[in-house]
Amino acid sequence: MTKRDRLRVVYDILDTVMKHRNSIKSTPLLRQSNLSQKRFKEYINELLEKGFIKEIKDNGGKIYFTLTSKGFDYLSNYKTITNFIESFGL
Amino acid sequence: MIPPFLIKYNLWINLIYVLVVAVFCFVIYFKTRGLYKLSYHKGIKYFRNTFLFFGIMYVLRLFLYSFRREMVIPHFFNIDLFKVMLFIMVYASLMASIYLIYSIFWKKIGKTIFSKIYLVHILALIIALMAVKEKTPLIFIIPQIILFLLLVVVSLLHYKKTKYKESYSKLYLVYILIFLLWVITNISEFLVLFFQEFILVVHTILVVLLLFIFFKVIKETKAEK
Repeated sequence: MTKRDRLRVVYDILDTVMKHRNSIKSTPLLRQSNLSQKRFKEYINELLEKGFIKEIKDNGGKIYFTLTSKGFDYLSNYKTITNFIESFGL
Repeated sequence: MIPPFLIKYNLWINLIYVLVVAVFCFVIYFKTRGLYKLSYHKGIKYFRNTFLFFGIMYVLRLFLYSFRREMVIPHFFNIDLFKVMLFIMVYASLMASIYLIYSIFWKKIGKTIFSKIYLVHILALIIALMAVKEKTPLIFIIPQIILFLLLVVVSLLHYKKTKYKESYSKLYLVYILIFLLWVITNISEFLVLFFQEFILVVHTILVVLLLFIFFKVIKETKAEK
């Protein structure tokens, strides 16, 4: 299996969130992302900071991750981004 | 031989050429904004910056041509505006060259000293300052030639390793040609006076190559939602 690049990892995380009706807790997301805990935290912090996902609390105080509109934009434009990078040798 | 009417309107042809190149460059820069804002990809960032600085360089060239025509160089607060514009133009030209190399080679740069892009900006500013202060275009032309050779080496190395050989061979050839013509234009501007016919051919090829990149960008960003 080839190593996933940063763009692919971000895609996989966001896609997992979306496939769980746009609401997923940290532990299952970590499990499905196939990342170490340290790397997972780094990615989640980056995604929160750049506004791709946001945290929401339910009535019981449990924290869920949900996609923002920017997160949805990323998913729908992922192919365009990778095609652009490939076609310009970036 | 160049038609006489073209010689008569040489300045206007140059102005239009410079304007067209600047417009292409800024459109490429703004057209790729959306993809960069989503991906934060370093390669896209450096690619965009190449055309931003290339565009800035050509806008300044446009002003310099206009001033030359009017033979009036404005002075504000005792500042020689011609020298200031020349300084920014040399700096922008160097940075555009550097960003083009970085856009291909950024993964290999990694966390070396060259990853600190502000140091490269400082170096470009120093070279620009020296070139304008000493009135020695060679200070600016020699780094450009070194950067051109570096681009050739970097492109070859990247081409050898890539699995997309067919599409990259054309693209890297375009990059190398653009850079080469760009260096020739700078040499003709500051050092040697080439035949007008030759410069006209250089400008025409440069516009065609930029059109190639421009339409490729339009094509690749068309699917953006």
